[in-house]
Amino acid sequence: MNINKRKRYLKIIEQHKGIIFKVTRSYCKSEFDREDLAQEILAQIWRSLDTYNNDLKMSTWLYRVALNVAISFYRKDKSAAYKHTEIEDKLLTYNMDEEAENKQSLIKLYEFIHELNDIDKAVLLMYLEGESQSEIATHFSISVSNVSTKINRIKQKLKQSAA
Amino acid sequence: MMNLEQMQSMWQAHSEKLDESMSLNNRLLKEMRVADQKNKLNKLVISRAIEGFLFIIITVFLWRYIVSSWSLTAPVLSAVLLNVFAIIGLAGSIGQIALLTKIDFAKPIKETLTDLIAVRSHSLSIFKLLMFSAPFYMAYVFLGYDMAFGVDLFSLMSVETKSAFAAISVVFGGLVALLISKIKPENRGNRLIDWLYREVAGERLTHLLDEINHLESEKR
Repeated sequence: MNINKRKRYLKIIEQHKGIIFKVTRSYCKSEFDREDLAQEILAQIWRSLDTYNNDLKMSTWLYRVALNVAISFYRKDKSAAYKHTEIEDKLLTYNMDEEAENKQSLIKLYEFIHELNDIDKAVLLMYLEGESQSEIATHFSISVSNVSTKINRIKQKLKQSAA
Repeated sequence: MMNLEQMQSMWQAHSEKLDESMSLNNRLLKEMRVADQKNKLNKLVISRAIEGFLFIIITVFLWRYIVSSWSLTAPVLSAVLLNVFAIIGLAGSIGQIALLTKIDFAKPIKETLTDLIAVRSHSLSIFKLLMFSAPFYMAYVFLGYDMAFGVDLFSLMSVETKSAFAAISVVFGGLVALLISKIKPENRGNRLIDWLYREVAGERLTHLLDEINHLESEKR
């Protein structure tokens, strides 16, 4: 039973590792915090896996778990404390050079996401993933008008940061 | 900077690249032994269980004292009073364990945040309980004297001393009631309340309260 769960878990993480990367990259500036957050998300996915039902797509469910952990995850920026330390063994490795022509825009996009509060970050990530406003409202358990307000606010901030 | 729609298409391309090229350290993932990992919520369950156990010991201890010394004296009434506080504390610890076991990070974000706030508010609830018991500080003194020296201090006190202690308790009780009525998240603008939230409940709770404010805020 546990072996089956473990196999299923490893398969799910392998298939959806991109979600964990995007959430940790969006929520943490320092690599040390990203590693901590990734481990916390992976632990919660394991813990919640038994309650997964097919009402939600696996990717949507994973996003929900990852965002819930990221929002509630209390971070103390460790970048200063570990300024001269390298992480030897990373859980997720990705070279931004893979993005070629998009690399600079993508770095700017992540910088913009870092400027938002944790809730707006989650709204933006879901929006970028192509979720509709009513779907986002369901994931947050808030009204559609509230989601619409938050998206408009993000658009305004985007304009301001471009100016 | 691009607009949101351009961002969305770039994000899709980024997601595809990640799926193709990102590597997951399977060895590290397997070594993590997530099933055995004592995550933060498990640690909280253990600490609440220990706390509940301590309240049980206090309740049993006081109960035995009440039964063995039963009479209408100040030390026995003090023990009854302190027993009530211990039972409330025990109920709080049991409630916390029940809450911790039902926390599910797959629930909608607002529900998870609300549950986590209830969990992280626990130390503040214990603080309130202690503050509620503070006006009855003489109960600790009467009980302590009787247990340590076998002396009913209350019966030895003059009417003036009793009146003075009663007056202090009433004033203290009023101040405590006022303070407790102000300990609400919406009063965090007040420096004292904000300090209490940070020092007693901790930064984790204030972080969660800030996030739920952001979530509920419809300010443009």
